[in-house]
Amino acid sequence: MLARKIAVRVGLAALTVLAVIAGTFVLEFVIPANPARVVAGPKASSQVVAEVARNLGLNRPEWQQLLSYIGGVLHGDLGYSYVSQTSVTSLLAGRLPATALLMAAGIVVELAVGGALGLWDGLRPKRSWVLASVNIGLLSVPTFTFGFLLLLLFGYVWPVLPVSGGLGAAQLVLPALTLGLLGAPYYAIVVRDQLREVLPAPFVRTALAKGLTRRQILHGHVLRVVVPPVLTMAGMDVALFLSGVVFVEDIFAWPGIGQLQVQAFSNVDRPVLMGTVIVAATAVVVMNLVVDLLRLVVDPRVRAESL
Amino acid sequence: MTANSGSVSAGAASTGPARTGSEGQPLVVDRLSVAYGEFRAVTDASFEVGTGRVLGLVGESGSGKSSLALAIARLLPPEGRVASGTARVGDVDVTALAGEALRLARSELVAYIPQDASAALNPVHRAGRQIAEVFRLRYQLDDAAAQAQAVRLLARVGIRRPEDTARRYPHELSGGMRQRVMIAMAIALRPALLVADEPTTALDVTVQAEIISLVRELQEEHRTTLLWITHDMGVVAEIADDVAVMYGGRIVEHAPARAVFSAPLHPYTKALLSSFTTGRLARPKAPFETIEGAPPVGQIPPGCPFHPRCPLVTDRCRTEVPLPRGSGHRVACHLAEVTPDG
Repeated sequence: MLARKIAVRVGLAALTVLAVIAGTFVLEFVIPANPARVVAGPKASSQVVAEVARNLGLNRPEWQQLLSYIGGVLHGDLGYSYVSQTSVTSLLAGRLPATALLMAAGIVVELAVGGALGLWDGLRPKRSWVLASVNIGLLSVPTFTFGFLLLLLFGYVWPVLPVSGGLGAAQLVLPALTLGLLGAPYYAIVVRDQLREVLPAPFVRTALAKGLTRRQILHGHVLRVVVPPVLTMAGMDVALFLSGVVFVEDIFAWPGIGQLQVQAFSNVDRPVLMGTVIVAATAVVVMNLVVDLLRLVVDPRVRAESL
Repeated sequence: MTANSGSVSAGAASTGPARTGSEGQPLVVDRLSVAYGEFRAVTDASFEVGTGRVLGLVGESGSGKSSLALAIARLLPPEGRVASGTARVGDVDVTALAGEALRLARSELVAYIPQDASAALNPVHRAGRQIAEVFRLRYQLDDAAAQAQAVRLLARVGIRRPEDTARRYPHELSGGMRQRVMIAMAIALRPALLVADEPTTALDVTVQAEIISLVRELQEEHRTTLLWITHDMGVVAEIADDVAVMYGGRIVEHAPARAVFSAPLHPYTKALLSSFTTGRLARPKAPFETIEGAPPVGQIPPGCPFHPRCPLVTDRCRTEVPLPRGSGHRVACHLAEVTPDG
């Protein structure tokens, strides 16, 4: 029963990715730019551009291009970059670990900062203005502004961290902070609201009646109920994160998928662009699946509903 | 009672690592008032329950009986507080406890059985673990020993397959089973005083009877003092040695159960009993007596809290709060005839 449920979910996930591919394909053709012109260069003659377009297979009808592309995807072939002529799969594979690392670091910062703020506020008898002002401050700053702000502060005004980019622990700090701090307010609010809901619950009173300490009640009873919704949110957050990653990687010259995507976009490098979109879509559906399964493990009531 | 509980109890003579063989302690409540902000839920409640005796605290919804119970068990929500008065269990004034002493008093001195067991159990932990936790965290027993204690207690409260029940989550148990789990938890540390806040209200009638006789049996075995809160006169008749009737945050009558049932003195108690007897014992289709009006909500009227609904109301009742009078059978009514205070 559980296996069937998972199979259905995986099937739906695959369909979602296919739909995203088709949607992106359509969008790519709407963009008023000719990849052949970009590849051939601005000074190339129209014969050369036409020749390039023929080589790239761009003169075929759009639906044929889409079908052959999907056919390739099903065989694990994402095509070749228009610009560098290397296979998209190898390009992505080279970039994926960097992005995964950045995202993991970002989520850690997000959970740590947001969780701490939410716990601090939720355990107080009254709401504090601190959480509200921190949240308003962080939420009103766009990702790229915040990134540049951190870059300016810790790169130039007080130069303690590298601004040059590249893969490394020191290079990771600022982009992870940018991603994490901007996501933290959402977690703070969820944790705070969960606490406000759970703390007056009769089962917390029961724990109190057993003579448990505050810490024992918090760890053994309150957090076990607060954590699952936060997990769900972290899973869904991957989508939001991936959009943030694009800007952050570009700003901090972090060599991940996001940076690749920005380059591919300005080069009208359709196969690479499509590859990054597929990776993002897959990451989102996979994370949602993982979160659902995690909740099955953590919360016995969910298990009862789904079995 | 269920068939096996009697046989199990013989083997379960030693309950809990601490306070082994301990008895109940008397409860003495003296002019206790409970407030939520400006609102007084309980005003000057005074009564006592002797060691090993059962007091039935009766009242309608909003009469303040649950607030009184929570105040004695020291489980009032943060917005509620004891405004004045004391509640002594043995020689300990529980209202004055704080910090570590308060933590230890909860459950070891006073245990609390709530009305809604399904909400009072943590949904994400197995039933056995929730009982074992008391032993694990309070007495540093290892998991296996704590679990064994939990299973033993589950057997003691009349659960037929305690190992199986211990492994279940609360949502997998019936209402009666959940309440038994709560009772097992409450008696785990052999409290001196057991406060039961309408523990059978959410249960159907046959299960209700089982739970009542289970609690009574456990209470008698350990001579635990029991405060049983209910709105049901029928339940009081089954379990209580003494009865206290609450109305509008005040205790209006307090006497041995037999006296209250045979010769109630307060007009409210009389009305409550007559609606109960006509409701339960009357011939079919005989008129069902009700008390005119509704209990006070939010605003307690000046003077006697019952005066707006009282058939015998006088001018004095509207202005002057009647204080409890009489010895043995105490009543707070200007009009009642009582034996003078000793």
